[in-house]
Amino acid sequence: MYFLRLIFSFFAFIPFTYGQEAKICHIANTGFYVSDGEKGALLDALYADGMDGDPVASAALNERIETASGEFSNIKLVFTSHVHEDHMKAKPVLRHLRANLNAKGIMPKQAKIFMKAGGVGRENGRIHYEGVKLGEVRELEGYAFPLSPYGLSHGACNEDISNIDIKMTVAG
Amino acid sequence: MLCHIANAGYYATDGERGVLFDALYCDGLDGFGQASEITNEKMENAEDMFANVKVIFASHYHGDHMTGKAMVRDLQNNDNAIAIITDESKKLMIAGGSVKNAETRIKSFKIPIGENLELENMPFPIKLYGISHGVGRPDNIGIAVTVVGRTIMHVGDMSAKKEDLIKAEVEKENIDYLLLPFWNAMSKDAMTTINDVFKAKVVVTMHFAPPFGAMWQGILENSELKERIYSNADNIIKLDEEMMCISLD
Repeated sequence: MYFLRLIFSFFAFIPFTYGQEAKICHIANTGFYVSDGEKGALLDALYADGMDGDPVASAALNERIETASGEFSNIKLVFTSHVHEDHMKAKPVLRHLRANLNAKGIMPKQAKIFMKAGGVGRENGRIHYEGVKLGEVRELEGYAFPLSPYGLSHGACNEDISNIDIKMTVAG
Repeated sequence: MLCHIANAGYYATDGERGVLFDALYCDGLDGFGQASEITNEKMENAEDMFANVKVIFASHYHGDHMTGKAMVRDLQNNDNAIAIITDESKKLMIAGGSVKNAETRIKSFKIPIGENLELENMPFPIKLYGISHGVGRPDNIGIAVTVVGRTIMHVGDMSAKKEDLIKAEVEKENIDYLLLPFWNAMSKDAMTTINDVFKAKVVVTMHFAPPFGAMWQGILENSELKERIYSNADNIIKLDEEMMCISLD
């Protein structure tokens, strides 16, 4: 009996600890998932089949991310640094925002036309198009995590691409 | 021949050279018609009948008409192809990857509504038209291409005023085949206006797809919507299945 209770306690404890664990996980390429155990963020992770030659997540993982399933149901923030298709595509971003009404998006202003091309509708009200200039930093309020976007260059030959960095604090 | 791909996507060829209209968007937008994986692969890889494509045209940047990756793949796999797109669409193509000699092969335009522009040194005689997609929508261009002596006009997602089309002088094009989004053909009166303005010999209604498009009209099935539209004018023909083709001879 004691043994059975021990097994029960063990399995009851797993979801609890699993749910409380702060972590950072790699998705693919420059895509990451971070969570404090209760709420999470996706960083450059919603680009589905991406760009030829660059790594992509598995179809199963992409589906879970896009449909906000499993641990991705707790996503509060979808961040995109720039519009290259190995970092974002409108369709997977929109799929996630439609599946998860608690998520907000942050992306550079340049991404606005891409989201229009992807058919953005009322989800646009949950997207902040950030226009921080190169070398500058801002603080954003009203998000699940403390956030500061930075204006950082994508480098030579990519002057036509707006790139933003983000600093966020997760579980301290 | 003139073949349907999917949604507003078509392919025309004289047997030696081809043109793709609004066909390179791969998985496009959720809910809209898409070509099969095998057709998309052949188009993007410029294989089989699509190896002869010289022009890839996209009327505007919406994801059910073009995506950067699909357009870029075709240009990467077919050094002989050029893209004709809007200035706005060019902004999306930069995210899809790099193209060899992009500065000469990606030709972008901003044509004011009601105006036209004849292009020179093209594989086919080509004229572009500034045609409205509607207020607050992306810039949209129509294209008239003459293939084996037949003029095909694709108007993109046209939602235009009659006076703007008259101003653009579309009737002077002597159109043989007008590729027309279905919402412009919803009644006999609407089709009378279309025929008065374009004077096209044949109209191919297109861009059927999403089921909610039919529901907007109080019709539950796309098939019912199609049958209603096909009966709205004698010069409407069916070309609405993937790789269904008609002869241009």
